[in-house]
Amino acid sequence: MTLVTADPATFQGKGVARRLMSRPPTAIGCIVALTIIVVAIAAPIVAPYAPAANDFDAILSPPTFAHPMGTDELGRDTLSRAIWGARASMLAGILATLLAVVVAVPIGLISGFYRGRIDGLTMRATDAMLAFPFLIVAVLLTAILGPSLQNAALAIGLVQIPKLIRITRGEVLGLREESFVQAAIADGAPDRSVIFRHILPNTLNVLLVQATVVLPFAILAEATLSFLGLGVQPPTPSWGVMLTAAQPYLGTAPWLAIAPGMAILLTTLSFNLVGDGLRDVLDPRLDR
Amino acid sequence: MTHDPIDIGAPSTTAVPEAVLEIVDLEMHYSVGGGVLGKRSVVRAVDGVSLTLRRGETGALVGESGSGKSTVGKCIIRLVEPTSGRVSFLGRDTTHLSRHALRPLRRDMHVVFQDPYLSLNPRMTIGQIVAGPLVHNGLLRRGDRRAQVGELLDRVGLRPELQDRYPHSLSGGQRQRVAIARALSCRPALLVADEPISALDASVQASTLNLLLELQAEMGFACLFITHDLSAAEFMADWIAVMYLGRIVEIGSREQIFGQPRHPYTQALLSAVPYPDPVIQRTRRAIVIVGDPPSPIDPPSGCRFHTRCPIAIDRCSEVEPELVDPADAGHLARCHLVGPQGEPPVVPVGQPRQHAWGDRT
Amino acid sequence: MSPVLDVRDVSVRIRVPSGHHVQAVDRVSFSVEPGETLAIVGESGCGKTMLAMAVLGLLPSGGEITNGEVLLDGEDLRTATPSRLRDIRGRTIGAVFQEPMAALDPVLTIGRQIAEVIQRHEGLSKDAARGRALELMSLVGIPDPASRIDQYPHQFSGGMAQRVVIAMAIACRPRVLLADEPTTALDVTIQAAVLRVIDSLKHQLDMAVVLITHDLGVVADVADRVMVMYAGRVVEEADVLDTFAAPQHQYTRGLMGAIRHPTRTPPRSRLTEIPGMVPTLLAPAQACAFAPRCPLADDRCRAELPLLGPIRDHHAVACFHPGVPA
Repeated sequence: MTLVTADPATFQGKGVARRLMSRPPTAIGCIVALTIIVVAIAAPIVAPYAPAANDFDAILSPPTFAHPMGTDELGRDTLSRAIWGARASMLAGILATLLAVVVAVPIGLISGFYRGRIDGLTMRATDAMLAFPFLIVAVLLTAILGPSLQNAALAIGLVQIPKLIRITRGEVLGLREESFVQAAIADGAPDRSVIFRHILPNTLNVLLVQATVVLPFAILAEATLSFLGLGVQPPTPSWGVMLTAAQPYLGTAPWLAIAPGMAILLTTLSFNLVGDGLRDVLDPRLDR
Repeated sequence: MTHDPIDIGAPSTTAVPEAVLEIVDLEMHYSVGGGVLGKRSVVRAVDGVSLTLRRGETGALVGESGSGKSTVGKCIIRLVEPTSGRVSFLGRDTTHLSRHALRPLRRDMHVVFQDPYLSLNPRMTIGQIVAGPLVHNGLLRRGDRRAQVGELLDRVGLRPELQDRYPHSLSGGQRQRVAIARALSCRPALLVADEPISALDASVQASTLNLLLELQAEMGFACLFITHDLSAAEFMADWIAVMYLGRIVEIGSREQIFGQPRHPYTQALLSAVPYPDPVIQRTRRAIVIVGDPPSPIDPPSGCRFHTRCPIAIDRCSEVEPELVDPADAGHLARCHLVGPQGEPPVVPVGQPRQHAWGDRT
Repeated sequence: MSPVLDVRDVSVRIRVPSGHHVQAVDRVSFSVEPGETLAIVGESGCGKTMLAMAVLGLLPSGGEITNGEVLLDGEDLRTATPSRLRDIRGRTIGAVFQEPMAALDPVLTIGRQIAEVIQRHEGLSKDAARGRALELMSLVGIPDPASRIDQYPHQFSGGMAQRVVIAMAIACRPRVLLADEPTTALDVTIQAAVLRVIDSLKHQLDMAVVLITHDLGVVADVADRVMVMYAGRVVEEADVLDTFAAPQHQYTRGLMGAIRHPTRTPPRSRLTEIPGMVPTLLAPAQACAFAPRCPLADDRCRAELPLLGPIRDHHAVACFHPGVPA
């Protein structure tokens, strides 16, 4: 055939992963984020030492071959603790994000689809929730329930809920006027079918991007709460806990703060880069 | 004020096809603005529309943007609930039925929208989309779904294998055929087509119109064809209602509307459609209407068209004309200047075109 | 008279997100003289918009001109620097696109927007520019310019907004006006008025007008010459009278056959259809791109590329069987 033509099907679909990786910042973000996740999962294998293992011969030692990121005041290897700390941070982040999504998305769907009084109520409620600063909520919650990883995750998740409700609702408001949704109603589809088969799948792109924004916030928030003593309690390592412990030694043993600090920085940065890249790639306007 | 539903299509033979759809004094008013400090205003999108559509008939609702024609379509299909008036579908009053009560009726009416790119769920396959009405109305033949969907696609001229593809891999014309297949899958009594060809290329428009005509002849549904395109209306429709700012300003059979348009707006519309022959088009003199279409929030007093009408008189700004049929011929117009026997007012044409032929002789 | 805009053998290639290259425009040439309207006609996917973007230097990222020259008064725009192009756009070439609201900044008054164009290219003071803006608004037929000059775009209807866009496009008396579907989004009663404005400005300013459209009614209304595009190539080019009276290419005939007009088409008859779809080419065509849909196609059409050749005075067609009744 002397005409090289293209079927429109040629241009679509499977390029998402490839498109993501074609942008250098996003590609780097993806690789780093994935590495951190893998490290967190494989902590027992990857970490050279147990997090509580003491080496009394090497207290507060600067980075050496045996301890690449130094040791703390109890002779524990900083690198290993940072690796184990990844677990706590990722766990808190995922729990918080999951909580937020599971609660906010259905509320946003219903509120946006039915409008009327339910919507009015939801909006006033989210307004009220948004008025509370995160730390106040976190302090209150941990004061009542006691400080722990789970409670920190709870607080972080709670704070994300109103924003996520609004975002979901916004998407739903737009989608329900789209002709394919109207066509589904004209098909005779019951409301639940319209919401879950037509509207929800088309909000997933936006929600996915939002999840990649919530996660780094959650990790940072967990570090903050642990730093303040409201989250993970020592001796369990978490980056926040490590930072608290590093405070008195900032002048004399700065490496104690560098490891957890860098970890936080790398994690939040890489997830944000992935989120940016996803948003660019999944932009609904490009899909057409 | 109630009117009898306007009934144009009844032929003079004894066997009168039944009315599939009757709307009487339909109104759809939206309130906008407002909030704590703002003032709420009312958009009178549809402001008193009545018409009747019979089985096997195609009626066209013609108007420009802001005329309210699409809103009428949505009220009929009950995608919105009218604020006042009556919609009667297959003899039942559907005006204020709940969503739940409407569902069984949905099998007998469906809609084709303007944008082929947005009217199909991008995350469903063509097969799932076309089968939608069958599934929700309990008409899907279990175990035979592929064949059933294949038949429907074949009926609109598409290959049955396309049912496994996603909308993004189809062209605009193909997507619109899928939308038509979906709309007709339950053999509805009524099809509302809201600008079905406007977003398609010229040659694809032709094949889509041909398809709609064929299917209507085969399946006998009533079709309400909503469009701004007069030539499409003339091609498809038995009767035509011209809308302006939420009201019908003229309604009549195809021959009456295109042969002897009465209302100045109808005359202006016909005059504005460019004639696809340069010699004729450049020597024609067109009716000129000036100004912007007024806003449906604050329609002009009296006749809504008077602010732009080239022949408006004082009475036009004071009293709104009724939709009347002086010669009792089934041809109604809403204009003070239509003669007592139905003679159309003469609307002056503009100046001859200068420079119609550029620098050539 | 020598042409103001002379596009020679231009090809445009676009890289799409999936990595493929699409041949959007394939060795297209055309020229326009002052006071003349050239209509470029074709359906979606024919490359007419990409051609316009190439001329303006506004191809999307991933798009490039791979061949040819774009000569504006003899200067090759293809080799122009970005800053030279910015200078030319708005001053020597004016552009009007389909959606007027998308071309206007919603937070600036239209007076500011028109004046900005003038100030940027002609260095006038703010007051002088404002005075010019008022004149321009009158010129394009906006009633009561003094009261509307400080209004915002959302206060204008579609037709009026498009007139504003036209005013901005001709503010600096450009040599060429490029209009891509300028009336497609407008109501038919407004469409006529906007076309009149463009036409009268063409004569007053002695501009060349390139009008891109899919609507043959518009072509019949205002075009002097017509160029029909298909799958990135020119298939027919002729005087407007000839195009309508005696189209030579089967595709042009198909387009003519698909035209409807009230009182002209017998109702309920079958409209002429062209079976199939416009192809998207991934590489320059080596044979006639229309052959799969053409009733006259034979082996030669499927193996060889027909080149645009003159068939009579001012009428060229790219076909091995021009004018043969199907």
